[in-house]
Amino acid sequence: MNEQDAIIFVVDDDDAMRRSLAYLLDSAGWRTHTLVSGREFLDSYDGHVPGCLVLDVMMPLMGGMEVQQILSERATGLPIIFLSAHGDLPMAVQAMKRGAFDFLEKPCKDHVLLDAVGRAVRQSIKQSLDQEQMAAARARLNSLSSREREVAECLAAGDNNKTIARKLDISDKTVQVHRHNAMEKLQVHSTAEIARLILLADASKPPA
Amino acid sequence: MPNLQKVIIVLAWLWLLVGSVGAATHQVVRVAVLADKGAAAAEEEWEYVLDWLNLDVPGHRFVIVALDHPELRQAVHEGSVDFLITNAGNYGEFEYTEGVSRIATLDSPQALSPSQAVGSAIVVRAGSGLNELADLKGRHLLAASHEAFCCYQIAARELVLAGVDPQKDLGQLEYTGFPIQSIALAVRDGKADAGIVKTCLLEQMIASGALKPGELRVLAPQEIPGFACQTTSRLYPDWAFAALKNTPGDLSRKVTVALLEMPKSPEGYGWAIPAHYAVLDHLFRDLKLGRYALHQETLEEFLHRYRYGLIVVVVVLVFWLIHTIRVDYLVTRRTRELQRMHEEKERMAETMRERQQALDHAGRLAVLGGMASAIAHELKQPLAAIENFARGIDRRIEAGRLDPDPLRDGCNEIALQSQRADATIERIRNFARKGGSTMQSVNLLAYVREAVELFEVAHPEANIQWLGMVRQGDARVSADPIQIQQVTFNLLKNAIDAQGVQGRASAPISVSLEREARGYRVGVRDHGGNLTEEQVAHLFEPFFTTKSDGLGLGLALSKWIIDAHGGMLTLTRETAGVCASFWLPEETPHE
Repeated sequence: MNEQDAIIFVVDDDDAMRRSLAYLLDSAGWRTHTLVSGREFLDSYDGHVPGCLVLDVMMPLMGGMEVQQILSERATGLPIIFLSAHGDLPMAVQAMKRGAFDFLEKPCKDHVLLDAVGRAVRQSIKQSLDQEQMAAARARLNSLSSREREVAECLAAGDNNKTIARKLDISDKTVQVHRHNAMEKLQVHSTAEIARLILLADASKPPA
Repeated sequence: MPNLQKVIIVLAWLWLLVGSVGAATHQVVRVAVLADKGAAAAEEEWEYVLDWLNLDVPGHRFVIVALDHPELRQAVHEGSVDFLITNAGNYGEFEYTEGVSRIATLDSPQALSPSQAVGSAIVVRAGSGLNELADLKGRHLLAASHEAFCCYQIAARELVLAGVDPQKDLGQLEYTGFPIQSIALAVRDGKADAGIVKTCLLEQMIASGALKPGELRVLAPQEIPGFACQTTSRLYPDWAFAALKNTPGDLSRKVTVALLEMPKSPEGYGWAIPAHYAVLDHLFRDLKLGRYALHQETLEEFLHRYRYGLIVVVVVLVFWLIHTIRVDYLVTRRTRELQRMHEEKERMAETMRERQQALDHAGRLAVLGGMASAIAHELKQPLAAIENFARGIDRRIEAGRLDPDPLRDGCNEIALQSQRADATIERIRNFARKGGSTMQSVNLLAYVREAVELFEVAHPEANIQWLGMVRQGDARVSADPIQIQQVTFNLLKNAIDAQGVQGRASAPISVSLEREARGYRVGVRDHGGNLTEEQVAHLFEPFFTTKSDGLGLGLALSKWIIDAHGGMLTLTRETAGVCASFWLPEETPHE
């Protein structure tokens, strides 16, 4: 996954504004997709990442803030760069609080916009990679039996075989068998690697 | 009790002290009022306006000076007052002779519009055989006074146009003075054949029971669409609020703004942007009054002055030659004098016209100032787009991506957006263009259609439907085409904004052009939700708006333009929407 896969979605109701933004982004080497309204974007967006959404705040029918709200419910992780013709500070604060990537005042200088788009796409790529790694780590951990998982977690916490045997109320020998099987299934060679896998699969994050 | 008295005395002293300090810092502004019906009545009538001015223009104390015709003429001539409130006829005279300039026109509830408000009705007994104005020849006619605008001059013009000279052809012309109710009662009681009263008086007297329906009727009534009362004459502008020529411009502006912002009085009176008083010029010409009186009056004066001399000449032949030479000499001198006076008055009228034009221009600029933020937004979009395209082209060249097609696309887009910005600037310049409006014979249909097409280009989401059109070339009116297009565009913009608020920008908007009465009506009907009766009543007031980003000037300005065309702008509530329409009189071959 890299920057060539990124699509920059441009949503603005003003024809000239929309076409000119697409032209500028295209000139800087980005792939673009333009849409006239927030509704049209929400209907056609299939969750593609990486990329980012360049979104006008003031549009008839559905404003940019509403699009952000609906998109956040879908948890796509697509970064949003807002464009506003009126430097509306309260609205900018609200948008940033809700997780907007950036909030720019129209007309903004080309390098400011292109810089924001570049950073947004890099964040989108990094986030996608993190999620891939997390999914892979989880898949590997899920292949363990529950006993093997318990033993692996104790190993990651730094316990030795004896301590594990006492904790889980099983024999030393059994611990050794589970340990061997777990390391084989996880394709790791050290307890440090087990700890890293468990960290990657961090259960506090929602599943991808 | 004595304690209480002391307290009251102390309070009274304090009040006097504060009052005198306040008075010392307040500049007194004298507002003369034409008091036809006596000083007390006039003071009571205009108290509401003066109270408002005292409230709304701080630092000044406005006082009423109620004056009759000769007193008012002297006060204005000496410049002993700062403003005056008077009827249109009297104002027209002062504009010409004393250089006063109108700053607002009264907006009365019974008037069609501020420029079509006052007229005369000639009342006769219902059973009398009088049907035409010409039937009044040799009859006994009552009027309020020779100088009364509504109750003599307006009707006198209609008589002159009908071939009846009120000074010569009537059996008797009797001036009764005010109140004019007594004129109607005298006609009913057979003391005269006919009487000149203000329009709507007959209807008011019948409503109050002072007259029974069917006792009197209006002679030769004219049909005026939308006007509730019967009238013998055409309609003239309402009372004017005017500034004297030496009144400071800054004060005039403050008073103008205060008048336009004045809430309607309980009886429904308010102030509007000044009406055009050009129609009075025709009245003065037909009655040989004002500037047209110059030659007529001085010839009479001359004959009167030398009546005895002429007789002596006839009788005493010896002095014939000397006298003719003398008369000849005097006539030449007098003519030269008259010529000079006439030229001076013409010059003064010219200065007045220039001042009025400057005021109109200033008004437009003020409106423009308010529109600046809206205009800035409209120009910002194409400029921002141009910058994006230009930067894009630069980046392509920088990166060595020299495909001609995308580069050419970018250049074409820049040209297109420049044209869009240019068109916006052109529209603003047309609006702000210096000088008065240019009235010409136009085909209303063509210009309304062009405005609709422009609007469709600017608002592709609009769904406009044409209804009830007149045939091509039929709708001839005398108008300023750009102003009429501005009004049409404005009504369409209001319609789509109202629908946009409801999330129904693409709901159908019906545009119609129909023949109505002696003119044409252009209607724009939207489906933008319901307005309350109260909102509709306030819509024409400057700075009233129901839009979150509106300035509240669009409708007031549109109404001003239509009023200046002698037409009417009306708003009616419909189910789920509003119909805004304007009526313009058809073009007449002359006048």
